[in-house]
Amino acid sequence: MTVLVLAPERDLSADRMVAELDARGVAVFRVDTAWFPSRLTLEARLVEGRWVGLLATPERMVGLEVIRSVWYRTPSTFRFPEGLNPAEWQHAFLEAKFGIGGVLGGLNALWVNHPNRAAAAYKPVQLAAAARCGLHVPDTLITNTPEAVHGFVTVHGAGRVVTKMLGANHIEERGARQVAFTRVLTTEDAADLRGIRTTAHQLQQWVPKSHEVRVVVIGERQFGFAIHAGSKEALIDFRADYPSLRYERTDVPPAVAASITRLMASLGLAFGALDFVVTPTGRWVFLECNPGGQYDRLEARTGVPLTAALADLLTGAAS
Amino acid sequence: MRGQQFVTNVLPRRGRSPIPEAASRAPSLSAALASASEQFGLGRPPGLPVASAGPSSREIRPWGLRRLVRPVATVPLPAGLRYDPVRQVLVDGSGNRFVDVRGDASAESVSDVDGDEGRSEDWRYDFAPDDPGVA
Repeated sequence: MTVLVLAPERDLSADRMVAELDARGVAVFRVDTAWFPSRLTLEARLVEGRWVGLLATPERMVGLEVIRSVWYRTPSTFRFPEGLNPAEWQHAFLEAKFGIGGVLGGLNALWVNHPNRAAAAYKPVQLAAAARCGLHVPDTLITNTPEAVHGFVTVHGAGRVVTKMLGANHIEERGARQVAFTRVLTTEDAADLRGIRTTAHQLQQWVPKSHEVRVVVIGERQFGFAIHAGSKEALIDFRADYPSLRYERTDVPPAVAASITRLMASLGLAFGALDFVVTPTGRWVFLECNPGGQYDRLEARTGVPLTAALADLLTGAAS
Repeated sequence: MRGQQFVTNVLPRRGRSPIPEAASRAPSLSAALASASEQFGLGRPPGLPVASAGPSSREIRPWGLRRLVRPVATVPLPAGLRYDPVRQVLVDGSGNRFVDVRGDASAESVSDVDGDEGRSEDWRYDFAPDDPGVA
């Protein structure tokens, strides 16, 4: 039995997992797809409906048929020889993606998470699925029309609407990286909606917040962590002020836990980091599910052995 | 109470079906939204230069990009770390596993850039999965 870890070279969570599996005596084969083709080779043949063969680096190799599980940590893009023109590069990229991705995706292995679950990254899909699974969700608008924005603000009131990115929350511009945190819409913001028509925008009602909770789901296990903001900025978006945050274990209400279980099944995810707002009255409101969410800090701050729980899942010890 | 309702339909003036009902008819989330080439999402290739283009005019620049802020700097990983392909982890200059020697196990695991998915320089979950970057 081997656990295949697909991760970038600089991924400390992957380092910790390798250490955990080493300590358990479980074979682990770690690969960054950026090594393909110069330092990573694939030989796969279809034999009686199964892919068999080797995935190899200069230092290690693994038989495809002994891979029990795959931990998918978004490895890096392939690196092809210098000198390819853009069309050749794109051709090589897609062939590699369909070839390697196809063979690995076709293995009879447990994936955490399966790379075909890209739809889970779509937040509107998550919100709709969460609502169907019984979770409370914020009133949400996705639009590119000023009229819809005005209507939404009228319903909720100035200062009670936030804007949130649907995808990456950062861009690169003028040689620097810049970030767009969740922020409360001001009257001035609503008065100048130029650029709304350019693309889709997400607005949500501001949900009164006692604190946030991140629920880390690992297989059938759920670990709840309360996140208490220590600043005004962190109260709106906890990413804005990590040093102010305080973490503690918290129980997930049974009804919420049951809905989470349904949601994970609906999205086809074996792992997820789900963010909730807990209102002053104790209501849990789902914000989003991060299929690749980080958990290192939660483990370090609370001592909850999340890496071990993930290792249990990957090795079958959890079943 | 104003702002306290938890519903998803916000377009009553159009008289259309609520969004959740339409969404519930989707047969498969992945089949509906993940194109073939998206189904093995890969991270941003290392070493890409930071884009240098400036913002477009206010008329067309996406409204959501107003009020961007510079990310707060995070403590970088120590110099001298390298990936050991045999041990399959980062090691320091003395050959020790970095996860064994670093003081704060949570350092660098989050950032304000893409905090919930990790530090962008090291974890690139948010990189557009079907964007191959620059050759």
